[in-house]
Amino acid sequence: MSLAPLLVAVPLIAALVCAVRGTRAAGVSALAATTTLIVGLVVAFSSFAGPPEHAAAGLMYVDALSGLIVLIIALVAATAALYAVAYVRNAVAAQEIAPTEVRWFYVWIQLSIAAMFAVPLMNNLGLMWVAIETTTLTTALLVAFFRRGHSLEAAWKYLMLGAVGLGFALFGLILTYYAASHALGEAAAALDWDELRANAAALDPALMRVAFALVLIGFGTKAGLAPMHTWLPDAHGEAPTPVSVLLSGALLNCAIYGVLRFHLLTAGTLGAGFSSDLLLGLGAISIAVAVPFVLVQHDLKRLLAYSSVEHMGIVALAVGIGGPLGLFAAAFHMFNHSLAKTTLFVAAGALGQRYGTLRLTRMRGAFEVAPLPALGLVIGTLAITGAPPFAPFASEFGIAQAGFAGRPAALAAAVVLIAGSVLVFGGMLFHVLNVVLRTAPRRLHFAAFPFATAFIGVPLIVLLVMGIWLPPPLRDAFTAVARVLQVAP
Amino acid sequence: MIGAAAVVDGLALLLLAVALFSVTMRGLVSGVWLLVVQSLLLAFVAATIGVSSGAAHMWAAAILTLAVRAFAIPAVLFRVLAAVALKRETRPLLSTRHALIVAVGLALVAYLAAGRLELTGAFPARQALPVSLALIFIGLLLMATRRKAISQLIGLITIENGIFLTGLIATLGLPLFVEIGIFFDLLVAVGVTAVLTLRINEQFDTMNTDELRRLRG
Repeated sequence: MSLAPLLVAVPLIAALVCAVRGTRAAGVSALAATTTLIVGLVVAFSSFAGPPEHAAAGLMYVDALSGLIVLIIALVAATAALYAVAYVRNAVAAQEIAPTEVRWFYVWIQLSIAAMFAVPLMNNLGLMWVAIETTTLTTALLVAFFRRGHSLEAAWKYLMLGAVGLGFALFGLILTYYAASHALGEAAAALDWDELRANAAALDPALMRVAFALVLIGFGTKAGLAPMHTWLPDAHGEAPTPVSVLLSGALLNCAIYGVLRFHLLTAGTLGAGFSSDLLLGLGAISIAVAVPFVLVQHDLKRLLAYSSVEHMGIVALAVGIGGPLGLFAAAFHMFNHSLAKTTLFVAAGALGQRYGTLRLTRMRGAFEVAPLPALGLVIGTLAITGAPPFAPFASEFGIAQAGFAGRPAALAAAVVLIAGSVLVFGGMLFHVLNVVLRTAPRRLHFAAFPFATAFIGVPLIVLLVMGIWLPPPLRDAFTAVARVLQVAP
Repeated sequence: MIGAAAVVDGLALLLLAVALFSVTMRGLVSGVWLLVVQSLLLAFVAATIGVSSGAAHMWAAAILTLAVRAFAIPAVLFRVLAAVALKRETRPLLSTRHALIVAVGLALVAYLAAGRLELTGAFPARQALPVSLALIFIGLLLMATRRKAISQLIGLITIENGIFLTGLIATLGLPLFVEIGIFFDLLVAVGVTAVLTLRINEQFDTMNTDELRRLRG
């Protein structure tokens, strides 16, 4: 019996308990996140090893692709929920959050985690859509949690663009349902993924073309693919840091997951060409759009957010390039990005609370102020920008290699990838070195950051090890994901 | 069957008229009332299709539409409006007259686009699909040109109504449990947006999303 339903049930129950027993909310949330981490690891690694499984009476479907997303969410959610304990305590001390509001922070965090876990687990594409929409609603309130003008603005933009985007996706979904009910009859086509995938060849190609374009715009908005990314730097930058961690590390992957499912479906109907080319194009645009904003950035968390736009672009591009190597590298890169970005946001959040600001020009001398987060920021930046010997270098290298071996469009995309990565490397490192070096300001805030070594050290060491030697279980995992993502040409 | 299709066509054209009318309105209260009318028309569409096709879940869709779209959502919006001082869309980016011209243009585009999509729907109503596209376009127009948070929300719900109408016509709705999920999300979305609107109002003393233009770069 699969443990997958627990991944949704545990955070839901935790949210309820947090709402009722407010004084214990932090502990309950941390305990729930640790539980889902363990369960998530079990679910993920059993999905990599075996054939696709159904759970919860057919409501859930877990294959290696779901497994990868579950693995990422489990790791990121645990980090976010555990880090939130210290972060919220500091925010209360700094009077950014009223003590009475604290419980609701954890309630919404846990509800968001439940909704995120539901995305990769739902067998029914309609319910997957519902889960993705739910993540927008729960995280929008978290983005606005500080009730400052800027965070309200960010949340409003996020909510409106997210809702319109998901409207497009819903339209695409209706067209898919229409195509399916024509090809398979009303009863057979209740939008269940396994049914649809098996019968993809019978769907109307013209309709699926339109449907995929709509879904790509819709879920692409949520995944932060340019040019629909405009809400992302605002939301990720203005949100309380544990929420930024969830948004950048986990939620973007949920949206990409939605795109990938429809990519597989459309490729089953039309052949790989159409949807792969669109992914390739949007990926390249996202990388190109992110570069200038990274170079001229003035805010640390927005810097990291634009880097997320770039990396979601890289993932889309890698899937567009395709082939066993490209797809393996795409899965590997999703994992790497989440790990590195989580660490970076935690380090940025810790520094931000010390300085009382995230403006890059006011954050100076971080090595003196908070040595460990500063070190994490530098090493994390080296890792995420693809410097060897860290894992993102290995995955980006794989993507570029697959691109050079591929069709002309893939080759062009690989060139964009390399050029973009070099520029972002220079830009991010410049900003970050300015932050960690130079003279520290005299006025600093007090902000505790317990277990800093674990939060910052562990993921960076993992990224370092994976860059040099990829452990066989993970290699098998990414191979299994690549097999799911493989489409006939 | 033909009779039912004609009824649905008539209702769809009424929907289009209501949507065009809401482009010309600047009062927020009347904007919400127009949403109520839209929702009632949608419920009639669902009920008509339910009668003629005998599909039981269309009745569920009609009842859900009445309960959520025609009752719960407007109730939330009216409460928000009661709590805030502003009752009118003050300075839309497009004057209502120009907006109406653009909206009519968008409706024409919707007819052209629907002709190309070649959906031989589950229900033989010819006006409904173009109208549903037109609703989506007009909703986008409202969201893009209005500055008040509530007006933008009205635009968003108009878009949702268009999508819902497409679903009704093309496939007799989505599977019921998916439909329930979507209705639930819509309701929560309006609730969350209402909370945000009130907080924006508290913070800025206006519901103007114009104030929300400080985040750049």
